[in-house]
Amino acid sequence: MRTATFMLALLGGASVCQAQIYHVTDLGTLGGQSYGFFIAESGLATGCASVAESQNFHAVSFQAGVLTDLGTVGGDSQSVAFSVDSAGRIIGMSFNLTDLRHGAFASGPAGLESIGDFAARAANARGDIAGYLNRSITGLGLVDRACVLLSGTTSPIELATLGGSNAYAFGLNNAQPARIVGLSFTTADSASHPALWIGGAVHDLGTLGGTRGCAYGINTHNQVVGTAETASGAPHAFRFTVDDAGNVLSRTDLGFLSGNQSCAYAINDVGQIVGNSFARACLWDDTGIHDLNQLIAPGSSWVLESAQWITGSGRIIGRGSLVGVPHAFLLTPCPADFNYDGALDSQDFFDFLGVFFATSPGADFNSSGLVDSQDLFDFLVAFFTGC
Amino acid sequence: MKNRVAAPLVGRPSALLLRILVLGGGVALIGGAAAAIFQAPPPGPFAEYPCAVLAYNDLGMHCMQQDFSEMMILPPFNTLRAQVIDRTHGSPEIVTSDITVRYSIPSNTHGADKTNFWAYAQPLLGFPLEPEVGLTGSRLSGIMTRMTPRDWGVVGIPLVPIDDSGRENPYPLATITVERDGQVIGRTQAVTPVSWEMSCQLCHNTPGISTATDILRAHDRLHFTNLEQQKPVFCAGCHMDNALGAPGVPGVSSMTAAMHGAHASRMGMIKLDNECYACHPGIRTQCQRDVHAAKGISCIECHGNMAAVGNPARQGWIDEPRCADCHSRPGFEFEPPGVLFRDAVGHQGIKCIACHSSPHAITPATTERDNLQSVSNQGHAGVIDSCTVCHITTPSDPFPHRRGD
Repeated sequence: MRTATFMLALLGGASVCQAQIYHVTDLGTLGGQSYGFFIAESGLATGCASVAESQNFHAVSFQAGVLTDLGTVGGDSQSVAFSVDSAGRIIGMSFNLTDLRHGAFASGPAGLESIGDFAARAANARGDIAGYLNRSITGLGLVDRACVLLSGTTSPIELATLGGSNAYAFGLNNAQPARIVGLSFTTADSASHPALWIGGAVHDLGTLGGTRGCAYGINTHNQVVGTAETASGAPHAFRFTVDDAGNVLSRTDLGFLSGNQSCAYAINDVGQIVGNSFARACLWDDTGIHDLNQLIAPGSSWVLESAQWITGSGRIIGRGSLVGVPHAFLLTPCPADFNYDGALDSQDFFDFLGVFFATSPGADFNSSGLVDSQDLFDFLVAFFTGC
Repeated sequence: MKNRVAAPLVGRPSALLLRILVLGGGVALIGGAAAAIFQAPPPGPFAEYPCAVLAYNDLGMHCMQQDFSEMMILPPFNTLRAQVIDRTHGSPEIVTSDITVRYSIPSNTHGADKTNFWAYAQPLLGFPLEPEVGLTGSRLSGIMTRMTPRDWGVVGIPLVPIDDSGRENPYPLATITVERDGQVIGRTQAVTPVSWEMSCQLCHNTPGISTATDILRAHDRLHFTNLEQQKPVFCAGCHMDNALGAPGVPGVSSMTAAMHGAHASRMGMIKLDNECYACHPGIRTQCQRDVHAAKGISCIECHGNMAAVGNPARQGWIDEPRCADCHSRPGFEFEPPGVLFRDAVGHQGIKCIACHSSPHAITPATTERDNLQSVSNQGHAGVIDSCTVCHITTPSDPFPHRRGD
């Protein structure tokens, strides 16, 4: 019955309309600038914002339209919130500009609490936290090393490098053990490559032909995203697919909007990727690369400069410029515009059916983890209600 | 849990071991040929290398803009230089050939995703610039070239103050590695400071328009220009700027004269303990972090007030404070006339800046990382004053701090 109703409406053109794909929300400031780094499926978002008088950056959370100053830890002047862990704790790092030593924090009932002397950069649904720590090593001096704080433990485990002096972990997935990604310098520090850590082993993911690269995100399907130089030295966003042994199965250059430059920061489990290209926030999906500035209401005062995270349901957080001031933004998608072409029309219906009958993960319209009839019904509801 | 104690000096000999080594040195002096075996090596992480490497930034802070979409005052442009001293011989030698000097900034390996500088390079400069490539062709890592007969360097590193992790870091640490025949023979670390904390918005904050538009509109109103309609505007296109080597337009005041002169009488509008930090980084960055700052000496005590800095007769980046303006000690010599501290050469060809560190970060600095090179080479912060950083043995002749001694 639902399908019959839909088909009639479709033939009659009742639901065909031009629509913005994303609704953009200003997450506010503390009187200065703000940056958004992460949003959980619960809607709890994190980032940092400068305090008007001191201009120091403080970790902040955004939820239900409310921006909250989370302060700093232990007398530090700066803090940044990068993630939310499985328990809903906000994770990040606290530091002073005068010494730049790292302190990891987690939010608790009494505010931010120190959880170790390392830089916490990302957390997964299992409660593991990836980041990096400082070490002083004879012959090398003060170096940074990638590390992971496993759920339920109190001491971060240092991860191996690719033979070079420094390494950093920026993302991880929910696997057991977690697949951790970042960058590592190679032997003699002659190059810096995207790196993958599985258990205690480090794997060189290579580049797109150049000498430098960095991995920022990985999803549950072992798809890794980041930026890497091509043979000409141009930094391009990439998606590499790896197997459970850390072997690279494919390397995809994701291209760019303009300027021969792009960077990918995050990928969700349906394969949508966010990042930037030549100072424009962008989204990659099955149909290619999209300038997110073209997918919000025309005439906006926003310039969306970089997208930092995307949830499974397609909400995107990042940084933009609002009347020249950096502001954190949240993009809420119009999910029924399935092909992101800016028009809600019959092609969205056919595109959805295509992936639905292929049982592609992209057809998990309601992010339930399953592709089933409920996804179809939920798509139809969204379609007929105009997003 | 956070450890605020300075990092342990890995490899530093214990007090007992030092005594043994010193005693051994005394024996070695008598023994002659075996001297090198028994001498105390300089303490710190880089003691094992045959060469000492002393690296420095030329300014102590490079400020750049955060947003280039409307105007450009300063692009990303850092400079690193280094001297390499072979300490395996009886008399140390400055190495000027047959080595490879690499630089990298490990925490900051890419920048084009962190700033819109490259997106506006074409309209600002009149030519496109490849992402990650600076104005002089330098990248965030690479190989230094010979700069003078005595040192190596790289000019115009396009560094921005955001680490790859996403956090602000105005004091990223560069690693400089020296290789000969594929072997690492020296290494050091030096701060490569950069900040975009220019707080123009403290005054230029007309509601509904950007800070840059507010600035350009004020310029149009006061100087009968039409800059707002010409965005993005390259300020040094008209205002001569020695920092960028921009000739400007004849008859138009220099950048430093225009900026300082125009604002000197207006600074009372804001209430800052240090008014310089309204424009120079900054209220949170506190780029003046050297031994003078630690002693409570303010910017204007060396540079003069804004009216003095904005004097049209002053040559920006050339007429700068001199050590001898305040320091005097019988027998001591400082920069020769016409030579800046950063370029001056003292002890046997070693540059003043190599031992004292960068302007605005002269050791002991208030920032831990600016002291790291001293600590790594001699075990303590402050001017590099341990002879054994470069010499196998402590020379019997004193160093009287005269040029050429």
